[in-house]
Amino acid sequence: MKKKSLLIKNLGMGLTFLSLAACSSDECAECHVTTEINGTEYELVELGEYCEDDLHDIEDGGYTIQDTLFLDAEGDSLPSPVIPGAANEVHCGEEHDH
Amino acid sequence: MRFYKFILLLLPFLLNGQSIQVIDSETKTPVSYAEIEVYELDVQLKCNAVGEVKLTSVPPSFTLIVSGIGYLTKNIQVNEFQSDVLVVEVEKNHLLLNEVIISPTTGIIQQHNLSNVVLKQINNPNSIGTSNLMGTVASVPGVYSIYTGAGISKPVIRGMSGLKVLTFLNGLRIENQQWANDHGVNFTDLGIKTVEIVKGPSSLLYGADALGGVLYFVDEDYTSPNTQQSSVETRFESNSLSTSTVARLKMAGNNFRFNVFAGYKNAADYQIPNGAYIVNSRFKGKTLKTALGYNKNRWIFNLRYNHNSNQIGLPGHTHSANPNPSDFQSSVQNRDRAVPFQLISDHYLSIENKLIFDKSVLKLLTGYTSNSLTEHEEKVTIPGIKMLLTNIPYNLSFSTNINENLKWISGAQGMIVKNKNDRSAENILLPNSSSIDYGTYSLFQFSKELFETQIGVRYDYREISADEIGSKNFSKLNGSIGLVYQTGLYTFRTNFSSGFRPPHISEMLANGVHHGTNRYEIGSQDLESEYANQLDFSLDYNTAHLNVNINPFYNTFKNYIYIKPTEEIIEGYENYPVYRYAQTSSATTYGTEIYFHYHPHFAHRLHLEQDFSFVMGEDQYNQPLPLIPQTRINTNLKYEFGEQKAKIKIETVQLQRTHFLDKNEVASFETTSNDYEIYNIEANFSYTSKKTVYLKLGIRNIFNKRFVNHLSNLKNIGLPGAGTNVYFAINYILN
Repeated sequence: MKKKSLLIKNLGMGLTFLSLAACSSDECAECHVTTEINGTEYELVELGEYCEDDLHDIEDGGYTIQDTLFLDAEGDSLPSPVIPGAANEVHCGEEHDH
Repeated sequence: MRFYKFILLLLPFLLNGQSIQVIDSETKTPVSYAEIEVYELDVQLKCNAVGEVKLTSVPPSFTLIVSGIGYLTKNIQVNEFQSDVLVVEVEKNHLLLNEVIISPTTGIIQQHNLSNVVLKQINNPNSIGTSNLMGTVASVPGVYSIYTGAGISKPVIRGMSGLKVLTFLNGLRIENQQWANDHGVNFTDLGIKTVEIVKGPSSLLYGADALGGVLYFVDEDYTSPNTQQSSVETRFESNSLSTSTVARLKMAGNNFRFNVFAGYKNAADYQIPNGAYIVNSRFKGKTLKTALGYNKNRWIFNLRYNHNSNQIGLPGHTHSANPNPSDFQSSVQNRDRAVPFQLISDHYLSIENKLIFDKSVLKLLTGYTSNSLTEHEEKVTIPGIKMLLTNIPYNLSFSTNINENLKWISGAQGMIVKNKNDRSAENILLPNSSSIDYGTYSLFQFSKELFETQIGVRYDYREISADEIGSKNFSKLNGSIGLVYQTGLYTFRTNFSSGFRPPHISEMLANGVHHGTNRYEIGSQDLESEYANQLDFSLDYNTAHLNVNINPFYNTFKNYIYIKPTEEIIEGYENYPVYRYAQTSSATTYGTEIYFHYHPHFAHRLHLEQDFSFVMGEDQYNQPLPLIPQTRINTNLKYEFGEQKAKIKIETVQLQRTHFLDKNEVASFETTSNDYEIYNIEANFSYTSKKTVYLKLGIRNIFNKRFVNHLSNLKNIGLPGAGTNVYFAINYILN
């Protein structure tokens, strides 16, 4: 009986260790298209949430805008328009509540 | 009383074999459940209710460390048992801090150690709780920390930090890209018993790079043979809503011993006194630590493994030349991962073999450490930089007692370090590189009555290889000489020591964006090795009720290396300030530490402790060096409650005040810092029934004081430290 109790305790401890050491991952993030004009970074388009492989692909490949942009994502005027062309940089996972 | 005396008289007849009896030096009564460690064998034993314990398979000459609750720890060198029972008398403890402890690095009794060494107990239930391991270490006079919020902190010893301070864990040298202020010590206090802090250059015992000081962490002991201990502890802090849960299990048979610890910590953004939260100061991490020991006759074997994995947000990240502090604050507290952040994963493996001979000990420690550092700046899946740093260290040491007055310690140490960039990263800040170290040393310690002296010499060689520089060699002869003299209540100590540090690959070859510090860093291949020489004095006055220690020092450097901002602009990286590594031909640091502990005779349970830490640093033009800490005064008032019959007992209550003075002498590219005071309070309770539970309850920064420390990485953008923080810890002892 004593041995059984000891075994249960050790199993309990083992499970605690395993649960503490368990892995978790954050695989989704909000993304947006950015550009740099005169040394300042502007957010052009909010792209929404991307997850796992899609997240990697959009960060790696960038995003090509289709139309000329005169305003940034918050509706403010850009110092100079952004014209369609090469893929723009995409940033994901930034904090937006400030 | 008569009964105990009767038992003592009968003891030699009652006990078989070699035994130890621990008794009170005044009353001559047994000390129940006293703890005994046979130092050479790493074996811990617990006495029974009448203070006795049996010893088996001990060498002819060995060191006993005897401790009991409420008694001073005592060290005894046993050359041979004169009878079957060795009676050890222990004295009631008044001043807790003058414990006699053996240095884990040299095996020399701490009291007799001539170099400037402080031994600090970690996880001490009666010490005021801190948010992280470095917070505990930084409570020692002369020791501070550079930090970024609560998630990143690294040690500063007498104004020296980064590559100038070495960290060891159970003898294993920890390499963790410590060249940057945002690369903190990645392990936690989980399973750590003590840290030995060496202040000043100490290449003699620790090799190259030990220029500013050394932190030598030692894990908790195994449990006594044929016993088992387990506990679960949880901690909570209100300020960052952080939770920390740890589990501990220790088991030991006659020869095999096993420890396992696991922990998980998760913290949200911390709150500053104005009620806002510092965005992205969140962090989380997990730790697994195991140790397997085996001892047979005079052979001791230890296999240790430790894994730490942390995800740490980097607050205060900006590309703006004139950032506004409000840009980094939020009204919402968050703990979700956000860029920029660091992912740090460490593995430490060590294998230790120790052979005990009649008058000597031979020890070989080998191991492997790996540090994977990934920094994400603007992308979650694509790192800005990613590096794997591996190290294979070894340490062979031999110590022998030549005669009863003379001890000789000798050894050889080395390591093979490799740094490799991962191709998945966008940038390469440091190139792939490797280095090979080896060193050999010899140290003599002579002691006679009240006088002791120690002299040693060491030779080190390092070869650094990288494509950009080919191969570069550095070597140096270092030494140390010390003297201690004890007369009456006074102990005088003086020590001269030297150290050297070849330039690190980051200082020679950095050329890129460092996302952690948000700057473009450029190294210099013209840098030469740094050298340091320190003269250190210490005077102790020690009575049963008063302990005063005064410890001035003077440290000179040649070729002092530091990093400084420039006006340069790098094309394509216009948003990053450019920093370059530079060198001054000479520099000095000087200062003093004063420690005072008063324990009034009329109030035996009251303790008043105060310490003062002051350091100044100047270059060859007498201009202040960067990152020299503010002068600090710590005051601690503690009341220890005595025996109580209730199941719930209050053990201690303590009030702490930490005062940092103004810092007006700063480097040309630094700003001054204001003085501030922080008050903390803590109470410790215990509950004993069938099981025992310990409870810690406290408040840090009681008055919600706004403060910005000179060594905070967030100082330049005006972000203060944490506001009021209520915390508690519950430690449930399972057996």
